[in-house]
Amino acid sequence: MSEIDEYLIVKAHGIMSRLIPPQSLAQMSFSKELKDLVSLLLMTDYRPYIEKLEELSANTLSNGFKKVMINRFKELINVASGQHKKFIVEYARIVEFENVLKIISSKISESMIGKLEIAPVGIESINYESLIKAKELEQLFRVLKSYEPYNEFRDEVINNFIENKNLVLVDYELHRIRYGKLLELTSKIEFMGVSELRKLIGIEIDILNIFTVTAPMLYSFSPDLMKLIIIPGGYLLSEEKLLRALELKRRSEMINYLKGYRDIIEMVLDRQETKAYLLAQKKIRNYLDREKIANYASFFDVYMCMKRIEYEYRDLIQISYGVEYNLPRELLQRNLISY
Amino acid sequence: MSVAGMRVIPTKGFLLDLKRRIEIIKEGYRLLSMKRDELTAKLTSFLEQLKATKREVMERAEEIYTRFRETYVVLGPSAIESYANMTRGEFDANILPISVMGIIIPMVKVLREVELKDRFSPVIRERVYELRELLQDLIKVAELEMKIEIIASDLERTNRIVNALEKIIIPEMEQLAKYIEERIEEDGLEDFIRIKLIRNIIVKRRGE
Repeated sequence: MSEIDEYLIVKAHGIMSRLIPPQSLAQMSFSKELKDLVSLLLMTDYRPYIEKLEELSANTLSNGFKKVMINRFKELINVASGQHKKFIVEYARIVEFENVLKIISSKISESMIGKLEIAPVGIESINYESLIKAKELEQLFRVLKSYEPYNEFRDEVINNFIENKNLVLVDYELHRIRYGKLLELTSKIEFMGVSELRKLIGIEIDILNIFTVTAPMLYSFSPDLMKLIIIPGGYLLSEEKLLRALELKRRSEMINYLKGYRDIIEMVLDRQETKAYLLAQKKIRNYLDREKIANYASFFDVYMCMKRIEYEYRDLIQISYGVEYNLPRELLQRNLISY
Repeated sequence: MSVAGMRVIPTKGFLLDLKRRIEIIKEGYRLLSMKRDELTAKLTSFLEQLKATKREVMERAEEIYTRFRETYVVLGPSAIESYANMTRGEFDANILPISVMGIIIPMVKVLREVELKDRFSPVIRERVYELRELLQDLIKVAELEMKIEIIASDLERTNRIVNALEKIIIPEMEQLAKYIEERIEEDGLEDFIRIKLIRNIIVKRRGE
């Protein structure tokens, strides 16, 4: 690892030291109102983005949270180089993909996109304006495919989407592209803990695929469509195995067949998808925590840093909307990924 | 002596016409009373139905909204809103008029449901199915509430008419008929006495 990339690890540790500790997030989830949450956040990196808000709402706060997340990713990108930099850029595409999905869905519904709704990441390879200006879906996808990594969009997915206007296709194609890129880049980076990193990405893919393959059994979703959105590169669940799982009709068969994720699958089959999603995220976080000592001072730390930045962002979004909607605070605390 | 809007002529012809009218009004009163009773029964049944349905729907709505809000805050607004955008304008319903005792009440006929199969991210699919079921339940509640409102308003009107007929119009008309009968009887008696007097005068003159 070059000197600059050693600095990347130091930077990642620096950022992690500025993250909000899980106990504090748990405390924030008990805020009575948004004002209380803001007062607690004033002591953190979020201060410049939330202290002078004209209108205090979960929406305006979440824009501030997004900016901090993007800035933290940018801090890492600025000190990284080569494949490491590419890896961080690909990871940070979460927001960009959300924006692309938003633009495509608004094109279908012919709704206007407000300026607030699209938060440019600043590191994207894409020009949102050119997408918004596209008059037809065909033109939009032509423009989209002219950018990296969207050139990997499969034609059969685009054609199917244009015909059926089914957003699931685009959503999962974006996931497929992102995870594909991340896995490809891990094979190009030599560092201690690369296998753990591949395993983690593989587990994330497996979890998305579990939701996909149970859809025909639970909700009569079309197996042909589900085949199209299966993401390759899972850790325990190979593509062939998942294709076979699409044909399963019984709960017990599904649980036995998709071994390794029994608790998550049981929740999904009980139609508790949100809880299953949270459980999966917590399992990934626990895995990260378990592996951090063995892979200390390697690129794994950078990945862990990015994951924790993302978790903090998701937790704060959860807290702010949860407080605004007055969700039970115990539930909010229980649902925190970082806690 | 008069009844609102009626010029009273105390003749036998008028009395016959008035009695015929009273009979018609009494028949109308009888029919309206039956309508009132039927509407009251319908209203009571709809109210009971609404009470049970509304309580059940509200409890379910509370649970569904809590679960939806939980999913919304966990996945973030962006993911949910993108999918929500796609369903815009897909739902369509028609309000059909149906007649209950001559009253037009609405019946909601769903023409186009929001297409859910295959269309939502597997992570949010259950919430979407729940919300669609809730929408159907809410339509049922709204339909029942509308029926109750229309029937109640008609019942109020019918009740007013029945009461007016029972307490004012029919008694007044019967009193009027009685008055005319008495007038005619009085007039007849006067005529009889007058004729008797004339007859006595004629008999006297002939005797002279």
